[in-house]
Amino acid sequence: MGALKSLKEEYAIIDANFLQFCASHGIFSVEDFLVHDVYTLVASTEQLSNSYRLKQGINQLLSIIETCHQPWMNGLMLLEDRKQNKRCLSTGCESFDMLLRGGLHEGHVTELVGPSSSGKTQVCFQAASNVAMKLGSVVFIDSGNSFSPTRIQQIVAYISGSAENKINGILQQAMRNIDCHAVFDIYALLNVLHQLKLKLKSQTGYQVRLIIVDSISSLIAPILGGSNAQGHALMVSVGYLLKELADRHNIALVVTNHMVGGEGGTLKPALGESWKNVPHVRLQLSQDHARNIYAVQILRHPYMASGRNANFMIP
Amino acid sequence: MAKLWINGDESAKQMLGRVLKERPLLLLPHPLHRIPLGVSNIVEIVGPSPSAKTEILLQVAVSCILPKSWNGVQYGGLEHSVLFLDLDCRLDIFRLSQSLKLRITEANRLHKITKKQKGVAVSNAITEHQCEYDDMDLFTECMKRFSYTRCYDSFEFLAALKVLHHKLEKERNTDGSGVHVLMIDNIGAFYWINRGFSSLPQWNPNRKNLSLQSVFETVVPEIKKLLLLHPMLVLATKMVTYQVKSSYSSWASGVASEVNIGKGTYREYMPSIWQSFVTRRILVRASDDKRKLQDQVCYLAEWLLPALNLTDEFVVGDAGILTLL
Repeated sequence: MGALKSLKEEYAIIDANFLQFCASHGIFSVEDFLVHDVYTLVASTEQLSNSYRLKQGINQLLSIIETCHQPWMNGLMLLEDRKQNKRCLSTGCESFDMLLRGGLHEGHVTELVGPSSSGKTQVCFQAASNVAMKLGSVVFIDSGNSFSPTRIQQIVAYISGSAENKINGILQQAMRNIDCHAVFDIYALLNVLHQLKLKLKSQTGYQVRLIIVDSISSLIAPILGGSNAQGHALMVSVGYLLKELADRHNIALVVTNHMVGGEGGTLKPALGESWKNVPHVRLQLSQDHARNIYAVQILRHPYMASGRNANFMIP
Repeated sequence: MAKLWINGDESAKQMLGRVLKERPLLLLPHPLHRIPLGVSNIVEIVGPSPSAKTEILLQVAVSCILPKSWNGVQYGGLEHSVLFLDLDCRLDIFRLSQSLKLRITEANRLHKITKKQKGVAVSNAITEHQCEYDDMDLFTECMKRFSYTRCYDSFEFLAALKVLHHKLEKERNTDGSGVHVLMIDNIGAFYWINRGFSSLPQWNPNRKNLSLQSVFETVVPEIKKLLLLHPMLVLATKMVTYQVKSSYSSWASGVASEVNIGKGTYREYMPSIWQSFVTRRILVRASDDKRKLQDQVCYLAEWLLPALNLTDEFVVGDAGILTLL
């Protein structure tokens, strides 16, 4: 989509006359055309001398529009795509994977929500290390300067089961596979995600298995509130961008969110009602400080009952 | 001459038969079963998140794509095509295939039991295998009746609607089944983004503002035009948020407030052109009452348009939506 002028080169029928006709109806871009009724436009060509050519132009625009939406797929094609391309990525933590029947699902946006020190970042590190060691590239978008290579080293040693000084090869491989971006506001996040989208689209062979945004709420929460809609618009845009990346390039997406006090003092996930529509999977983490055990509970899942939970340890 | 005119064209019975054939009433599964819905109805399923809205759509989809019967087994489906416009971009096809498989297995099990009761010899191992093979055929057949597209912004939504007519026309030529169910998962998905657009500069006074208002001023006529050519039932979900203040006041005002919380206190944000386009509206929400079931969340469904003064309860399990009596 874009300006009609830019289509002039490619399509002979979209000429100066046609552009003038469109401009007289206030249509300058494909988006403008979309909010107009085609029948009314066709009818309005009738009084004009070059009506036939204008109608051809309108038809040309309609066939351009057919390429402007995602293709229709039937249930079988979708299921096949899911089986072939969207696998589960193990987090390296057995009980966590068991709860999710295999781990983080490619194509899904998984949200980890929990109060501070409930293990959100640690789960991100663990998943990042495991995927980087065994499966492929990880993009780690860090908004709190919490990314720690030494911690990755520890986890890699733990997963591979050998002493820290003997894992050089594996460690290098894992470190090379993790791409870390420090991001401190929503515009920088959008920028990183857009560039990633472009790179995934244009560079054949470039593949990412896992994208982690830790934490997404610290980037979004500051722009919400007040009476302006811009903050919410940006939040929802980020949500769609994440879902598009996950589905189109078969990437597992993990975002973390903090918790705030709700009605009656109980804690609830931050970012409010409109954000609820973004993640496919919502997992709540908590820590039992006395026993140093972490717990994870399913709050929402496309095909698993909510409320199921599991305990896990962090190495 | 005048007599001929008075005689009429068809009897009431003939007319009813014709109308029901052209515009059949669809008996949809729980919780949409209270009101007969036909093509050209625009049904809005309203509820906060989570309230099993997408699940309802998927269960309706399963009932639609299943045939009435297949190889002598009753599946009780409607054998219609389903078009699913996913504006939330969150559907996992696995859920649909899982429910469909469970529904097929269940129907086969019932069929075997009735067969046994009638004294017919139960199939041996070979036909059992044959049975599974047939089930795959049936499954494939059903899944093909489900069409899906996702829209990442309101322009993709508009583009999909504008050219949907071509797709349906093509399909009508290849297979005969005329009736479709059009599902839109979360009609309000782009509310915030479109609100952001409305403050963009216009440059030209002629140019339409790309606001929520003008998007729906196009969406509604586009669907209307589609319905004229292709009789369809439209099911749309809409996520709503409660107004904290009023729900609190109705909570404080006493016991009878439960209906109040349901009826009036969610925030209506859709443009009036969409609101007046909706012909049926049902409200779903999670119940606060956890007495009956320890683990499962119980949901309540209540018709707002037409207003029925009763509330159905249901839970969501692996097999789909289960009613509570």
